[in-house]
Amino acid sequence: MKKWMMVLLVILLSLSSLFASGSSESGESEKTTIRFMWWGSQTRHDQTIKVIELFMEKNPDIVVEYEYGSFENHFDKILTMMTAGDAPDVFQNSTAYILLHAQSDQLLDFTPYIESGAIDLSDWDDVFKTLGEVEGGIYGLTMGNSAFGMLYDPVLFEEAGIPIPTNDWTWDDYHETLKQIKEKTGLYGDSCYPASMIEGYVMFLRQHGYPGLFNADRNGLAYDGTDLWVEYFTKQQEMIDKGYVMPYDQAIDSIINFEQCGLALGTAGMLGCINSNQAVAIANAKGSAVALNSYPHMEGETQPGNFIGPTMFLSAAKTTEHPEAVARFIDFFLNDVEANEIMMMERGVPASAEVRSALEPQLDSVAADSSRYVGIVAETAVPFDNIYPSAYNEILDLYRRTVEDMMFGRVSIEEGGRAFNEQAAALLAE
Amino acid sequence: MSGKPLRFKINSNDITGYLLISPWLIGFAVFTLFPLISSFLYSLTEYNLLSSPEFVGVGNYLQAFEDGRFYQSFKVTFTYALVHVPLKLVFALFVAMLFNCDRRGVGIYRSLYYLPSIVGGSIAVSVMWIQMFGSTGAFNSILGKIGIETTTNWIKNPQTSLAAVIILAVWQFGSPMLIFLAGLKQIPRTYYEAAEIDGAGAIRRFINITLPSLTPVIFFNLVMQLISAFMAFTQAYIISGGAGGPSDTTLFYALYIYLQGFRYGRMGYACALAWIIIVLIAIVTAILFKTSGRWVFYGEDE
Repeated sequence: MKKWMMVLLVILLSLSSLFASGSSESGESEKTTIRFMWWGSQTRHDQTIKVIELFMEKNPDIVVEYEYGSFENHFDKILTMMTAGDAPDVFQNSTAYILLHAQSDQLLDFTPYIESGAIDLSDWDDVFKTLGEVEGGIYGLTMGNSAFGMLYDPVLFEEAGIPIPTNDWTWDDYHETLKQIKEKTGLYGDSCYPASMIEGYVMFLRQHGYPGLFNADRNGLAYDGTDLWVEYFTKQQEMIDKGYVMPYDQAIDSIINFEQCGLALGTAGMLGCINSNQAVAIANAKGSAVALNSYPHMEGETQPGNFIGPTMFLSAAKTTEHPEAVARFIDFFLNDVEANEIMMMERGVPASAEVRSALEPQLDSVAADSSRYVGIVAETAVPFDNIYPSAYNEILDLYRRTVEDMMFGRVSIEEGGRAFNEQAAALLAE
Repeated sequence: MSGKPLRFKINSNDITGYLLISPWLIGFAVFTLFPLISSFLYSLTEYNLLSSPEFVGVGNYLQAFEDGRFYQSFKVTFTYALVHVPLKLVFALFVAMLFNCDRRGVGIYRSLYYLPSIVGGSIAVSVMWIQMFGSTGAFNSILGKIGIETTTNWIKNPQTSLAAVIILAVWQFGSPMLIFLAGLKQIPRTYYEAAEIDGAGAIRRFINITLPSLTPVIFFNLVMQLISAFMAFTQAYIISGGAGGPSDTTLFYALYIYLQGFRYGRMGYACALAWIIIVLIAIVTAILFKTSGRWVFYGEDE
């Protein structure tokens, strides 16, 4: 008798837990609930949460649930959620993943919502409207734009009497500046040579007339041979050997975590190749102002090679049950002046002209410099074609690994160039 | 039920028992058995998580043998396991012997020395390691104090990066230490007393009494540490910035599986890699068990 009571009790307990979890979901749902997920730093988390609260205050019929974390894990989570059919309604996306997501039919096409004006792009510059276009659909809207550039320490330059670089400087000027920093201050000229970053190499290719790293179909490289590779990295090696640029084991810190770069730590005068929106974070880490300057030009270059690109996209899951609420949220996030006054271009320069002109007078000097810089680059920018192929992450790792192999003397520069070309081409063809 | 009387009489005790352990049984089925089977099935497919898997047979397994990074990750993981496990066990035994006494405050020291193991797998310690062995870190300033001026970044130099990870792992000797301590407490004092009367010195007592009596514990620790060494992930992930660098010198096997599965969108290949290591761990463990008869002494056999 007692045993049977025990059995009954166990069954009841397990059943009740089932019902308990079932009933909590069927609460009164007058309100629409959408989920939003992003990656970023603590500053970004705080700002974004404030924006969400403001949105819910102005749109009492929508509840926005949110989840945030670091970049490293963001896309693992998104992928897993998509596989489970449980992707967040809205999420921060990147150029490295949008093609994969869109081609796997995971993203909501914004076209109808843009046409109906639910997402109002009427005061957006035309170039920004289609940054997230994949095969005719709009699957991402830029959250802010930036350009690549170099950072330097203006105080150091002035005190040591080093000429302040100008936006039309050449590679020779750049190398001369590195030398002067070393000779006049004893510091390293640069935390890392721009070739350390794949973006630097891509710009170097563009200056030589190539469209970029990939061909138009994104199934092969846009160039042949290793001449440019050898030229570029031989220069990097020379600069390191002369002591003008940080040794590579120390430079890696600058590449992995910009807030730990030589410029921020005060051991180098410059930081080569950086996204302009990151200037603010580096100035904060350094504790004093930094200034942005153009990536060096090639003499007789066919194009400067720089471009304006999205720092990140807002994308929505195709599986969302509330596309209208999603559209309203996205519109608010991208176009509302009050919301953007909270964020102050932390994700780059907004695409909306109205938001830009409202924010500009309020920016601090580094952010204003960064915004101005994007304007300067925009005048000569090549069209953005960085919807990266799905092999991009692997190519990124391949590039980094190859540069490490060369800089630590494990392979020659020529061998490294051949290995990179061969393996990258194989990945693209896959 | 077709009205036939049940042939087996199920004891109501059994039902209660199964019901009581059902949380574990369900957990095992859902979180261990099911993933195990499905990962094997996925290992026979090409699968990027988003589109539906395509059957490729043993293609993924064959691909592994042509993959240079597969061999590299193997080399890294085996070097790590073979160097750090013995070091860690020796160190753990040494500290355990220091603590195997009845001085005052020994409990506090035991807790303190166990602390790194609790926090060791965590991100904070790995981040601290990056700082300590960085170019301006504590390690370089200690070297500077003894006259060796250097700004080498030990973590980011391919010649020393793996060593830095090994030191981090050895430093987390807490859990084998506790197990050794428990083992030491089991050795009857009378052995030592008898040996002392016979005039055996400390080293002699250690070799002839402590080590043989401890072999079951050493064996247990060895197996556990080897298995966890083959699956090491967190430290390498944090220290290398998630990519196994520099130059793939900290590309641990588990890290490589993760990169293939999640970053490169080859879940099928990642599952195949996981199965290869499972089989290898099983083989290594089997060899250890086979040879254990020769050097592990269980008291009751003698």
